Amino acid sequence: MTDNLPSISDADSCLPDSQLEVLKKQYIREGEYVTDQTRFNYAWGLIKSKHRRDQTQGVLLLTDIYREVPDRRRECLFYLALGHYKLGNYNDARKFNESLLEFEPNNSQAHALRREIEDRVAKEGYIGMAIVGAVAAVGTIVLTSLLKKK
Amino acid sequence: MMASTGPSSSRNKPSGNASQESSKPRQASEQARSRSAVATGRANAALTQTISGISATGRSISSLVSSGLQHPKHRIMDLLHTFDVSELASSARHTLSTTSSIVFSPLTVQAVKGDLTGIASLTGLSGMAPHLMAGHYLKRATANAQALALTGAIQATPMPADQLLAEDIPEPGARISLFQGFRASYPGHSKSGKRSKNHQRRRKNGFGEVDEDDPNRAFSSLLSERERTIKEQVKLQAQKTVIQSEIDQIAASIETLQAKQANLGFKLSKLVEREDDLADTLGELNDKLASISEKNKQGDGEPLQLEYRQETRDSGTCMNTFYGHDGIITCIDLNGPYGTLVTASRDRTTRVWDLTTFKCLGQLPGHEDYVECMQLSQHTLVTGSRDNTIRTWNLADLSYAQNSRSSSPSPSESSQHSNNINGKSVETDADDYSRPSVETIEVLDRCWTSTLGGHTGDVTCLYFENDKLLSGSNDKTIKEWDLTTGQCVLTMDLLWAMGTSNSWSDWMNETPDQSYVGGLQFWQYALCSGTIDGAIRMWDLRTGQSHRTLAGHTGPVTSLQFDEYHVVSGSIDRSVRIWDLRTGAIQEILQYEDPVRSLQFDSSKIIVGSGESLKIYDRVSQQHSYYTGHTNTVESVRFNDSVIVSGGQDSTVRLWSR
Repeated sequence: MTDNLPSISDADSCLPDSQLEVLKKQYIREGEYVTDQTRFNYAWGLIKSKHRRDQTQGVLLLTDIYREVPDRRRECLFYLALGHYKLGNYNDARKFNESLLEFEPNNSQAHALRREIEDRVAKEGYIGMAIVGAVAAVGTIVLTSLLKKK
Repeated sequence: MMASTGPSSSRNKPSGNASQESSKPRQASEQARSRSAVATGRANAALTQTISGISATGRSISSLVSSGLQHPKHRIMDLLHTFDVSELASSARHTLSTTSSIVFSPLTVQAVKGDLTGIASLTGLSGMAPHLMAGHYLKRATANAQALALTGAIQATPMPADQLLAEDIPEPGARISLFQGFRASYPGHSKSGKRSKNHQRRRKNGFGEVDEDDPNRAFSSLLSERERTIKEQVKLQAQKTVIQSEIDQIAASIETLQAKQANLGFKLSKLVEREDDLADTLGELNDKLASISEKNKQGDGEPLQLEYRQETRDSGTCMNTFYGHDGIITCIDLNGPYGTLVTASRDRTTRVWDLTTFKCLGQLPGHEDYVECMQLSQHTLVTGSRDNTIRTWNLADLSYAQNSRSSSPSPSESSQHSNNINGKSVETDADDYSRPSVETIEVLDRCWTSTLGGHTGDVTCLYFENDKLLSGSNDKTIKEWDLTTGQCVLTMDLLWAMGTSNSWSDWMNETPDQSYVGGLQFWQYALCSGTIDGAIRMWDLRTGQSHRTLAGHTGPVTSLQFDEYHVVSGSIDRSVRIWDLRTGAIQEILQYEDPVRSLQFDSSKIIVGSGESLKIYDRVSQQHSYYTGHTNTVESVRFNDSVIVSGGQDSTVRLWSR
């Protein structure tokens, strides 16, 4: 499976706009009978991009593929996890990743993704706590000052 | 927080700065309270929840910050927006379940679990953020949807992960993975931009210069070229496999569709087969019917002199002639084109015939004089006779099978036969009645149901419907009878009605044997009668009074019929008059050469019996046509559906096709 799934770094590499356009045109051109490969190509291109709206759209597209093509669901788990991770929905990302690891415990990309998710969660948590602490401190100062005034 | 409220207040939000200032300390106090509560109150669960809540908050804030750092201007506006409208906290709490679940699902979970108000407020604070974030997010998502309107496959919101995971995840088939397909289709895309540039440069360099100065470089370049070509080969293979699998899928669907088509074609052919079978059966049945009637006509046991004419069934051809009566046919009636025909004649007999086999089923005894008028409706027959009585009969269980060779007619009847035939050469000897082949006709005693007596003169015409019977008689009255009780319920005096009008005419003395009431018909409470004075009267059966008179005929009316729009009357004055029922004006007069004895009409034609031929008047085309066959005056005509029967003074009853 290692060759079948992209690496995390690959997910962060953005496609040039022209190539994304090509993918989009292919997707639109196929119209009603769009193949799964085309859909995936476009979704993957969207997820790789830097813009948040493209990422969200890519995730939506992948969710469609997930729902409609049962055969491809296991692969989609990984991409959905990756997509949600990039968006910041760490809970969803974790859920999808765990589900994938249930099926394939030896998947290196899945493990790598899990590590990434945990790291990011922790990092954000620390930052958040720091901010909240600062906010709380400032708040108490204001409160005591007001009480003193009264 | 203070820093952010500064700019917000400077921006003059409609919420009002003062309220903002006050709400901030409130929230700060709440926070202080919550922390003290935590310190004093709960144990591990509360603590962990607090920490997780705070971390969740922190996460959200940090994600805001981090995303803000990504897109500075855009995000700072968002940040400011989020901290700005703080009084939306309560509303945000309401909308937590919906909006925050869209983006920040962990927050919802923890917000629900948290049972401390402080945490709730904290999470409410960050809950606003997702609310507003979600608002922005939704807007962008819908913009995406509009952008991809062509494909129309985008929802506004993604489905929650739990719902997706709940679905079944089957084992994937041994196929090319999506990513491999991606790489195969777009080999340049799978690498980052920077690397691809190097790649292209290398390729450009590699191809043209095989023979280089430096053999090492040539060798390595050749190697790399070889690797590249191999990789390309692999990619091509992958692409081929992908396309092949697509082709296979399509082939499979084509197969299923073809199977469906074959199935439906098979069903169709079966239906066509069945249709042919049914057509054959129908043809067979038709032939059988025809053959049976043929057989019966040609068989023995028939009255003598029955000439079966093999006529084709064109209109105007006489299909059959019923011989058997010995006197003028006085009246006839039938109840269907292949039903029963009843004929009465001045030989004092009333015969019943079957129209499918053209055989006589029997005769109806009872009347002491000949029958002047009759009506057959379904299986009920009502006859009015010169013996002043009306008899009702039930012909329901008559069939040809019951026509067994019973005893020859009783002597009394045969004497009656011999006595009452007008102006014809007859066999007066009763024995001579039995001709070489004995005609044995069954006497249908069992058909008689009741007798209605009350008239003091010949019953010359009658009409019944359901349980009401109207009869006109030579005692110058018209009586209404109730057939269930057999009682006369109303008597209308014609003399009195006629006496009021000045229509005593000459001919009434000249034609003594004309019926006083030539024809009548009623519908509910409206009765129409044609009388010897040539007048057509309308009566109201509720009052028993005549309220209208249509004058016009110059001779006794012999037959009459009306429908919704017209009254048609025939008279001895050789004319048939068509009256408009509403206005009473004459619409048409049909002139004939002989006195009109009988008529019947429907919406398309009028059939008139006058003279020796049957006269058909087509109302639509206004054409006259004639059916010839009778050798003497036609006395009575009746038609039903496709069949016309006529009885004449030649003692024959003829069947015509329309």
